[in-house]
Amino acid sequence: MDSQFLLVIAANIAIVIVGGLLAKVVPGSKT
Amino acid sequence: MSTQAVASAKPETRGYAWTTRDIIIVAVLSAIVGVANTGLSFVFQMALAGAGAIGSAFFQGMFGWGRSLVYPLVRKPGAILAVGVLGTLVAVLLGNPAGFYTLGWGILQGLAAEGVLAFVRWKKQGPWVNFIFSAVNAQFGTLWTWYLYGWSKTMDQYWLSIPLTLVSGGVSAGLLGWYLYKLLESSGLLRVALGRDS
Repeated sequence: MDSQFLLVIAANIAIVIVGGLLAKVVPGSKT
Repeated sequence: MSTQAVASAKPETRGYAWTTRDIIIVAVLSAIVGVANTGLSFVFQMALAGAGAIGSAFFQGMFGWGRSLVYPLVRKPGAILAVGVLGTLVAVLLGNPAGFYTLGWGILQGLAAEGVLAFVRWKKQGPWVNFIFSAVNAQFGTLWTWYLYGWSKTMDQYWLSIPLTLVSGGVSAGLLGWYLYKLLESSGLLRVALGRDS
Protein backbone atom coordinates (compact mmCIF):
# COMPACT_ATOMS: atom_id res chain seq x y z
CA MET A 1 0.00 0.00 0.00
CA ASP A 2 1.40 3.39 -0.90
CA SER A 3 1.58 6.33 1.47
CA GLN A 4 -1.04 8.30 -0.46
CA PHE A 5 -3.61 5.56 0.03
CA LEU A 6 -2.83 5.36 3.75
CA LEU A 7 -3.11 9.15 4.04
CA VAL A 8 -6.56 9.13 2.43
CA ILE A 9 -7.72 6.30 4.73
CA ALA A 10 -6.32 8.10 7.80
CA ALA A 11 -7.99 11.39 6.80
CA ASN A 12 -11.34 9.68 6.38
CA ILE A 13 -11.08 7.82 9.70
CA ALA A 14 -10.23 11.14 11.36
CA ILE A 15 -13.41 12.59 9.82
CA VAL A 16 -15.46 9.80 11.46
CA ILE A 17 -13.87 10.49 14.86
CA VAL A 18 -14.36 14.25 14.61
CA GLY A 19 -17.94 13.65 13.44
CA GLY A 20 -18.62 11.36 16.40
CA LEU A 21 -17.23 13.86 18.88
CA LEU A 22 -19.26 16.66 17.28
CA ALA A 23 -22.40 14.50 17.45
CA LYS A 24 -21.88 14.26 21.21
CA VAL A 25 -21.86 18.03 21.70
CA VAL A 26 -24.47 19.33 19.22
CA PRO A 27 -28.04 19.90 20.42
CA GLY A 28 -30.29 16.84 20.26
CA SER A 29 -32.71 14.73 22.25
CA LYS A 30 -32.38 11.19 23.61
CA THR A 31 -36.09 10.48 23.90
CA MET B 1 -55.60 7.25 21.41
CA SER B 2 -53.44 4.55 22.92
CA THR B 3 -49.94 5.14 24.21
CA GLN B 4 -48.66 2.74 21.57
CA ALA B 5 -50.25 4.77 18.79
CA VAL B 6 -48.70 7.97 20.11
CA ALA B 7 -45.26 6.41 20.27
CA SER B 8 -45.37 4.37 17.09
CA ALA B 9 -43.49 6.90 14.97
CA LYS B 10 -40.62 6.44 17.39
CA PRO B 11 -38.60 3.30 18.14
CA GLU B 12 -40.55 0.86 20.34
CA THR B 13 -37.74 -0.05 22.70
CA ARG B 14 -34.55 1.64 23.73
CA GLY B 15 -32.61 -1.61 23.65
CA TYR B 16 -30.53 -2.67 20.68
CA ALA B 17 -32.69 -5.68 19.70
CA TRP B 18 -34.56 -5.23 16.46
CA THR B 19 -38.36 -5.51 16.44
CA THR B 20 -40.58 -6.57 13.54
CA ARG B 21 -41.44 -2.89 13.11
CA ASP B 22 -37.76 -2.03 12.63
CA ILE B 23 -37.27 -4.79 10.05
CA ILE B 24 -40.33 -3.67 8.06
CA ILE B 25 -39.18 -0.04 8.04
CA VAL B 26 -35.66 -1.01 6.90
CA ALA B 27 -36.93 -3.38 4.19
CA VAL B 28 -39.48 -0.95 2.73
CA LEU B 29 -37.12 2.01 2.88
CA SER B 30 -34.28 0.03 1.28
CA ALA B 31 -36.48 -0.84 -1.70
CA ILE B 32 -37.54 2.81 -2.15
CA VAL B 33 -33.93 4.00 -1.74
CA GLY B 34 -32.71 1.49 -4.33
CA VAL B 35 -35.18 2.71 -6.94
CA ALA B 36 -34.71 6.44 -6.26
CA ASN B 37 -30.92 6.24 -6.07
CA THR B 38 -30.68 4.32 -9.34
CA GLY B 39 -32.23 7.38 -11.02
CA LEU B 40 -29.88 9.69 -9.12
CA SER B 41 -26.86 7.61 -10.08
CA PHE B 42 -27.17 8.64 -13.73
CA VAL B 43 -26.91 12.32 -12.72
CA PHE B 44 -23.97 11.44 -10.44
CA GLN B 45 -22.14 9.55 -13.18
CA MET B 46 -22.55 12.52 -15.54
CA ALA B 47 -21.16 14.93 -12.91
CA LEU B 48 -18.32 12.53 -12.21
CA ALA B 49 -17.40 12.20 -15.87
CA GLY B 50 -17.67 15.94 -16.46
CA ALA B 51 -16.02 17.41 -13.38
CA GLY B 52 -14.32 14.62 -11.42
CA ALA B 53 -14.12 14.84 -7.65
CA ILE B 54 -15.49 18.39 -7.46
CA GLY B 55 -18.45 17.57 -9.68
CA SER B 56 -19.34 14.43 -7.79
CA ALA B 57 -19.08 16.21 -4.42
CA PHE B 58 -22.30 18.10 -5.08
CA PHE B 59 -24.24 14.95 -5.86
CA GLN B 60 -22.58 12.44 -3.51
CA GLY B 61 -24.56 13.63 -0.53
CA MET B 62 -27.98 13.06 -2.06
CA PHE B 63 -27.60 9.28 -1.99
CA GLY B 64 -27.70 9.33 1.81
CA TRP B 65 -31.28 10.59 2.25
CA GLY B 66 -32.62 7.11 3.07
CA ARG B 67 -29.93 6.45 5.67
CA SER B 68 -30.68 9.83 7.17
CA LEU B 69 -34.40 9.01 7.32
CA VAL B 70 -34.04 5.54 8.83
CA TYR B 71 -31.98 6.66 11.82
CA PRO B 72 -34.65 8.67 13.67
CA LEU B 73 -37.18 5.93 12.86
CA VAL B 74 -35.16 2.97 14.17
CA ARG B 75 -32.16 4.31 16.13
CA LYS B 76 -30.45 0.95 16.54
CA PRO B 77 -27.03 -0.30 15.46
CA GLY B 78 -27.06 -1.69 11.95
CA ALA B 79 -30.18 0.08 10.61
CA ILE B 80 -28.20 2.57 8.51
CA LEU B 81 -25.78 -0.10 7.34
CA ALA B 82 -28.71 -2.37 6.42
CA VAL B 83 -30.37 0.37 4.35
CA GLY B 84 -26.98 1.10 2.77
CA VAL B 85 -26.36 -2.51 1.76
CA LEU B 86 -29.93 -3.47 0.82
CA GLY B 87 -30.55 -0.14 -0.95
CA THR B 88 -27.45 -0.51 -3.11
CA LEU B 89 -28.27 -4.19 -3.75
CA VAL B 90 -31.64 -3.12 -5.15
CA ALA B 91 -29.82 -0.48 -7.22
CA VAL B 92 -27.48 -3.17 -8.60
CA LEU B 93 -30.42 -5.34 -9.61
CA LEU B 94 -32.11 -2.35 -11.27
CA GLY B 95 -29.08 -1.71 -13.45
CA ASN B 96 -26.99 0.90 -11.67
CA PRO B 97 -24.19 1.95 -14.08
CA ALA B 98 -21.51 0.89 -11.57
CA GLY B 99 -22.85 -2.67 -11.34
CA PHE B 100 -21.88 -4.73 -8.28
CA TYR B 101 -19.30 -2.10 -7.31
CA THR B 102 -22.33 -0.07 -6.15
CA LEU B 103 -22.36 -2.25 -3.02
CA GLY B 104 -19.04 -0.68 -2.00
CA TRP B 105 -20.75 2.68 -1.50
CA GLY B 106 -23.50 1.12 0.62
CA ILE B 107 -21.11 -0.79 2.85
CA LEU B 108 -18.51 1.95 3.35
CA GLN B 109 -21.01 4.76 3.84
CA GLY B 110 -23.12 2.66 6.19
CA LEU B 111 -20.09 1.74 8.30
CA ALA B 112 -18.96 5.39 8.48
CA ALA B 113 -22.38 6.63 9.63
CA GLU B 114 -22.61 3.81 12.20
CA GLY B 115 -19.14 4.77 13.41
CA VAL B 116 -20.30 8.34 14.10
CA LEU B 117 -23.47 7.17 15.86
CA ALA B 118 -21.50 4.76 18.06
CA PHE B 119 -20.23 7.89 19.85
CA VAL B 120 -23.80 8.68 20.95
CA ARG B 121 -24.74 4.99 21.30
CA TRP B 122 -27.48 5.34 18.67
CA LYS B 123 -29.65 7.29 21.14
CA LYS B 124 -29.27 10.98 20.43
CA GLN B 125 -31.23 12.50 17.58
CA GLY B 126 -31.93 15.86 16.04
CA PRO B 127 -31.24 17.74 12.81
CA TRP B 128 -27.60 18.39 13.77
CA VAL B 129 -26.95 14.72 14.49
CA ASN B 130 -28.46 13.87 11.11
CA PHE B 131 -26.36 16.57 9.47
CA ILE B 132 -23.13 15.21 10.94
CA PHE B 133 -23.52 11.50 10.25
CA SER B 134 -24.84 12.24 6.76
CA ALA B 135 -21.85 14.48 6.05
CA VAL B 136 -19.46 11.70 7.10
CA ASN B 137 -21.58 9.18 5.21
CA ALA B 138 -21.19 11.23 2.01
CA GLN B 139 -17.47 11.64 2.54
CA PHE B 140 -16.99 7.88 2.74
CA GLY B 141 -18.83 7.66 -0.56
CA THR B 142 -15.99 9.61 -2.12
CA LEU B 143 -13.51 7.23 -0.51
CA TRP B 144 -15.02 4.38 -2.55
CA THR B 145 -15.26 6.56 -5.65
CA TRP B 146 -11.59 7.52 -5.16
CA TYR B 147 -10.63 3.86 -5.10
CA LEU B 148 -13.00 2.74 -7.84
CA TYR B 149 -12.29 5.46 -10.39
CA GLY B 150 -8.58 5.90 -9.68
CA TRP B 151 -8.50 9.45 -8.39
CA SER B 152 -4.97 9.05 -7.05
CA LYS B 153 -3.71 11.13 -10.00
CA THR B 154 -5.91 14.10 -9.05
CA MET B 155 -5.26 14.40 -5.32
CA ASP B 156 -5.58 18.20 -5.24
CA GLN B 157 -9.13 17.88 -6.47
CA TYR B 158 -9.85 15.14 -3.94
CA TRP B 159 -8.73 17.22 -0.94
CA LEU B 160 -10.70 20.20 -2.27
CA SER B 161 -13.79 18.05 -2.65
CA ILE B 162 -13.88 17.04 1.04
CA PRO B 163 -15.50 20.21 2.49
CA LEU B 164 -17.93 20.34 -0.45
CA THR B 165 -18.89 16.72 0.10
CA LEU B 166 -19.41 17.23 3.83
CA VAL B 167 -21.73 20.20 3.28
CA SER B 168 -23.52 18.45 0.43
CA GLY B 169 -24.07 15.33 2.54
CA GLY B 170 -25.15 17.28 5.60
CA VAL B 171 -27.72 19.34 3.73
CA SER B 172 -29.01 17.16 0.89
CA ALA B 173 -29.11 13.95 2.93
CA GLY B 174 -29.00 14.91 6.61
CA LEU B 175 -31.45 17.77 6.75
CA LEU B 176 -33.64 16.35 3.96
CA GLY B 177 -33.89 13.02 5.83
CA TRP B 178 -34.79 14.84 9.04
CA TYR B 179 -37.47 16.85 7.23
CA LEU B 180 -38.92 13.65 5.73
CA TYR B 181 -38.93 12.07 9.21
CA LYS B 182 -40.86 15.02 10.62
CA LEU B 183 -43.33 14.83 7.74
CA LEU B 184 -43.87 11.10 8.34
CA GLU B 185 -44.22 11.63 12.07
CA SER B 186 -46.82 14.34 11.71
CA SER B 187 -48.74 12.63 8.89
CA GLY B 188 -49.42 9.45 10.85
CA LEU B 189 -48.50 7.49 7.72
CA LEU B 190 -46.23 5.15 9.68
CA ARG B 191 -48.97 4.32 12.15
CA VAL B 192 -51.28 3.36 9.29
CA ALA B 193 -48.59 1.49 7.33
CA LEU B 194 -47.59 -0.57 10.35
CA GLY B 195 -51.18 -1.35 11.32
CA ARG B 196 -51.11 0.52 14.60
CA ASP B 197 -53.85 3.03 13.96
CA SER B 198 -56.28 1.56 16.46
